[in-house]
Amino acid sequence: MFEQALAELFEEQASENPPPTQASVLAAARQGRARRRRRNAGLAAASPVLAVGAVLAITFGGLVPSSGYRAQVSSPGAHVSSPADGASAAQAPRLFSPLRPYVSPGWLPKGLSAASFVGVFTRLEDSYIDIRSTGVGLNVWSRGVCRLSSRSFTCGWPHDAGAPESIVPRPGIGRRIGEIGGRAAYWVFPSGSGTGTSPSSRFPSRQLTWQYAQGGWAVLSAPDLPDALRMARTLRFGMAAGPTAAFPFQLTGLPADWRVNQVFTRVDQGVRYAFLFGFSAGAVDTVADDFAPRQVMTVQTGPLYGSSCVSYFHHASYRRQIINGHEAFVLLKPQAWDTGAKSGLCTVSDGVLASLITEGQATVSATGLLAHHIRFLGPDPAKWTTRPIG
Amino acid sequence: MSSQHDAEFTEYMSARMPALRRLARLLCQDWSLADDLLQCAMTKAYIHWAKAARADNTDAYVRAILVREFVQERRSGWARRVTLSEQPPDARRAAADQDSALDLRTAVAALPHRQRAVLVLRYFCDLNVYQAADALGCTQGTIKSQTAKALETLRRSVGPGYDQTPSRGPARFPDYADPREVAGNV
Repeated sequence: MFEQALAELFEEQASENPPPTQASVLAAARQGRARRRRRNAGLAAASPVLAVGAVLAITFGGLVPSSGYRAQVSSPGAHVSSPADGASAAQAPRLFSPLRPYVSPGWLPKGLSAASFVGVFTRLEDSYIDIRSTGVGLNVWSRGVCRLSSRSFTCGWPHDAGAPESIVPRPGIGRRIGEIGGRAAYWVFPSGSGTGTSPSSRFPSRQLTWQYAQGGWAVLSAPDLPDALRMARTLRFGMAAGPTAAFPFQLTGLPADWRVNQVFTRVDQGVRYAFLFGFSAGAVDTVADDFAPRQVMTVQTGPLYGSSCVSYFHHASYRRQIINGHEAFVLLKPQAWDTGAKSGLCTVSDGVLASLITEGQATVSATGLLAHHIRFLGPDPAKWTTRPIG
Repeated sequence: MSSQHDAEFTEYMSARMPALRRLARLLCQDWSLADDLLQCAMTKAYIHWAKAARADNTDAYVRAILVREFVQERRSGWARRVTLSEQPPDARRAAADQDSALDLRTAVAALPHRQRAVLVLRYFCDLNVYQAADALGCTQGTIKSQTAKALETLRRSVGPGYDQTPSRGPARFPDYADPREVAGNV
């Protein structure tokens, strides 16, 4: 019986000799207490972040050399994370713009290029993810998201609405290996790397962790220290750090409280384009927004997804409908396709597939969006826009 | 929370952690991800410990927290729909058609998370449809349909070798991955 084989597989996997655990009952109790306190106090979700920022400022008073940070990271111009010259310390931005990368890679190891990475931009985090899982990656967090103590370095979204307290628990901050941009840098061997079966574990990557500006942390994964240092020292920070992604569509007339909260980009034929684009709605709550519990819409588009809505909605039930001149495949049971979906459709415009999925408290349906709010800009990247919301 | 509750929580979790960790490993198909999931689930269990301790079946209550955390975490990150392959989905499917000999382990790991959670509850935890629905907080019909879909996907993926049911079509591969997993958990 097939089910029997499945049960045997699960038994076999469960009886594997596990690596030492990184989970901690005491840490769970500590985090749980903190969350209960915040909830009982009725504090807004952003408050813990501010508190964390304050704690960091105190913590780093003793850890970080007094030499300052050269660049004015909050200025519009970009800077390379060069050694400090004694200037006063600049604060990392409290928020990034999802529409504009705050950090861009400089030098990359042989075999990697800008096209090797997916760029993920939110208000709290900019990430570059190596799609071939070679172990090279970069995460940069805005001020106050990460915490460093004598025993651990953690970054996360301390929010009660489903987001984990911390997504980057690490057992130790590792070996201090010098400075980057005038601030202490640590070489960390993350727990579990190289031992698991996930793509992230294929390469025994290590992580270079440093404060790129006051209160803002960067984590760069790389196989060896010289490469990591060279990459870190050539990163470009600032609002002009890199080209803004091109969007193959433009949205108009959206509800006033809808905001872009996350943008995924890739490089294709030399153009960094956005292929996934998320919105949240309601009162501004940066912590909540950036872990998407109040997501209202996502747009996926571009060559990555092929050009067949039948393939895209594989196994889903849909009806075909002409909307605003487009043949749309409208999901009949959106939640069966994705449990978070409220409505959804797929269409192909000039050979470019696009899907519109609404979630949560969205007040506009996917068909309404296609009918009234979105305009596709064709397959030619030269005609795409850097201002997706008109 | 009183120190007595803290002590109860610590005692309970210390005893149950190995079993919960194994369950998390089956859900995540990776030990390090399982540890992250377990840590989140334990934190939630602490917050709701008063209710968990009073429950008729504390094990089932905590297991439900773990499984729902797994499904919720995967669901809420809409980014999970992102394709992080260098090939478009169609090309991957075409390649897969030529190589239909995926083993069961790989096929299970490639299942959508909700479907994998259902299979783990049914075939590892030995829960019936009602119990699995209770754990996942969904209807029994959803459990049945998710089970059927998952088994069908696995049958297609591994071919007829494991079962008498012939393979009826190309293997389906999920078009998404968790970018944070690919990013090296940073």
